[in-house]
Amino acid sequence: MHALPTPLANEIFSNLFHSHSLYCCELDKNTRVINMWGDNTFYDFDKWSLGQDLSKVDFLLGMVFDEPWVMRDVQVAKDNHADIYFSPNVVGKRYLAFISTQYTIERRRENQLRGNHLTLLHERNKKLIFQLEESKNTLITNNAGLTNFIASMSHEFRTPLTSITGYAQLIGDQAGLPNETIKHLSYIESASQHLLSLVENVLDQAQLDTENFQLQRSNVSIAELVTEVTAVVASLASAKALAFSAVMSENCVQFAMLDSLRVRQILINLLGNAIKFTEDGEVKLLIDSSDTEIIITVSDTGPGIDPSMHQSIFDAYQRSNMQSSKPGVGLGLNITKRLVDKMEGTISLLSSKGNGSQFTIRLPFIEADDDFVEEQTQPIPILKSTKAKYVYSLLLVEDNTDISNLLKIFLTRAGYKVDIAENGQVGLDKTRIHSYDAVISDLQMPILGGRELVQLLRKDGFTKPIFALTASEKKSEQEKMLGEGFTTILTKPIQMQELLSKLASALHSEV
Amino acid sequence: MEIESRKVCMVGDFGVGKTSSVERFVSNVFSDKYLTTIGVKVDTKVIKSEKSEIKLVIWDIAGRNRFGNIEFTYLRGSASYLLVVDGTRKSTLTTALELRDSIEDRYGQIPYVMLINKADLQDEWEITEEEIAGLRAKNIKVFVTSAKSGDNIEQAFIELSQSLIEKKV
Repeated sequence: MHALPTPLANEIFSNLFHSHSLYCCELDKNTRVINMWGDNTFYDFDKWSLGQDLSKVDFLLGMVFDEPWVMRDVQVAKDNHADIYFSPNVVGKRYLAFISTQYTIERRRENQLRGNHLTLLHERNKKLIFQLEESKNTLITNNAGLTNFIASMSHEFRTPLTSITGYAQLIGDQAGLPNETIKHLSYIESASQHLLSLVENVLDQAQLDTENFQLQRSNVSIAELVTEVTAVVASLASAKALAFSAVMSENCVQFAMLDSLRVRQILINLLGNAIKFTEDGEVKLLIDSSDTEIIITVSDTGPGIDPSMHQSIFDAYQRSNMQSSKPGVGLGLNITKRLVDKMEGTISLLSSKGNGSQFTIRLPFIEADDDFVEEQTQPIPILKSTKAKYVYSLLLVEDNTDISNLLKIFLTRAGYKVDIAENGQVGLDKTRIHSYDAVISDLQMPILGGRELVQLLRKDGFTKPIFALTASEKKSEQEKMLGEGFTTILTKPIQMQELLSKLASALHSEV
Repeated sequence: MEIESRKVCMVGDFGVGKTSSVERFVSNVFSDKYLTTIGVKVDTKVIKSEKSEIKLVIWDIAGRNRFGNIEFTYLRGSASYLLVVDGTRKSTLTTALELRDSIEDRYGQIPYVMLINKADLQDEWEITEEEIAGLRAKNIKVFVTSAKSGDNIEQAFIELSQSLIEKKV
């Protein structure tokens, strides 16, 4: 390798010298200045003098002057930075050289700032993601707590609702009541039903929010399902003098595996809304199917929904202007949409202001089991009671005297002989003395609860029907209770007709 | 008579407040504007005690960043150093302890104190009282500081200076 030609080296050195403000000192063995070259004013070195000990200068303090070193970007004066080179043995002499970095330092500072901001951003993103994860976990935990809270609140609501609706019904059954009283009773009933539907909606909403919400599919007769729903909503339509029709297409599938409870809920939500908001005209339900889907259409001649609301109408607590004048909190359609989503179906709306509304739901279905279809198509034998005059004896185990008195009145009127026990232990004692045809028991009671009672009764060899009265709608919980020995589960608030019908059915099958 | 000089270095991750701490101590000022340090900036302050006085020569060294580690050459001949940590960024505590280990590998044990800075941002604080107690239990002199409000900055430098005077480092 050859050295650069001397003129070129001189030219480069000269340029560097001018543009980078080179400065150099020769030091003796005691780091004192022997010689100086360059513009010392550029570095504010003008106070430096021959014989000065540079090891005492602030920015050279602590440096060792017996081996070569480089210090980068040292702030050597107020506005000047330089790289400092120390060479202890250049042709036997010691040199300290300064090369200004002032021309590049701002650019490098900007780059470093950008780099630092990027690093901070990255750190903050990581922190944010961590916080989001934590928040998500907290929400999941809180959500579970909230769901339990709502479930227990729901329980607390249902029990008094049984009393309110039941006693209102009892009063209403009396002959010769003044019209004013009948009107007031209808207000009580309507308010109770509204409160009950609110409780149910809020509970459903909470259940849908939990990750463990699961559909309970079973074999269902579509016609039976539609008949049940029609029975509920027809009276509502009739009360408003609206025409109501429910049509099942001839080609519609007859049986399918569906979550009947949830499909029923969807139908009642849509039909209930249609009846609530329609003042004149009619409400129609049409059930049809394709090879893979059940198609439900609910249409009405109500006020219609502005297209701008078609998306938001399915959001929770969203209500259109028309809806805000009616009772409700705006959960029904949201729950409907979420249930349809859970069933992997679709819901669509065709409506405009003043032209009524049409909701169409398409629900994928699985074919019903062959055994079920066969069983459903068999003619139903007509049951005849051989003990028409026999008076069934019931034991009612309930700690809430409002409820036990109410049920006793209804059951006595229906022709049953009713004995009451205020808790499970009293109930157990009574069954050991008297003979009952059935036991109806609450679950949560002092001393001995309903679930403990049923186990002890079955252990005692009691084989008659045992009914549970529960405020819990959890299907899994109800199935567990059936496994524990209960014959039938009745959910509060108790519908008296339902109780009587299930009681009759259970006692007949005992015959 | 010439005052004895003692070199102390500010060491830590980028953006922890090394320059702000020095400015607060030397000039009693604070600026919210963040200007990253390139290379090294040297400031001085004379500390007087009852019996003697020393000149602290404070080397404010560019923090560790994505472009590279700190320049360890600057720490040569340092009588002491201040390890600066940002209390709102836990990672800077890890960096500080790594830097301390690297310094000790190169220059042996040099006395140091730790400043956990940005105490004014308590809402964003990431270093717990337990962690600070843990550091103190390892005989690390820890000061929780705020260059913004000035809390504990002077105390940290003064205490460091006193120990330098007493030990004649």
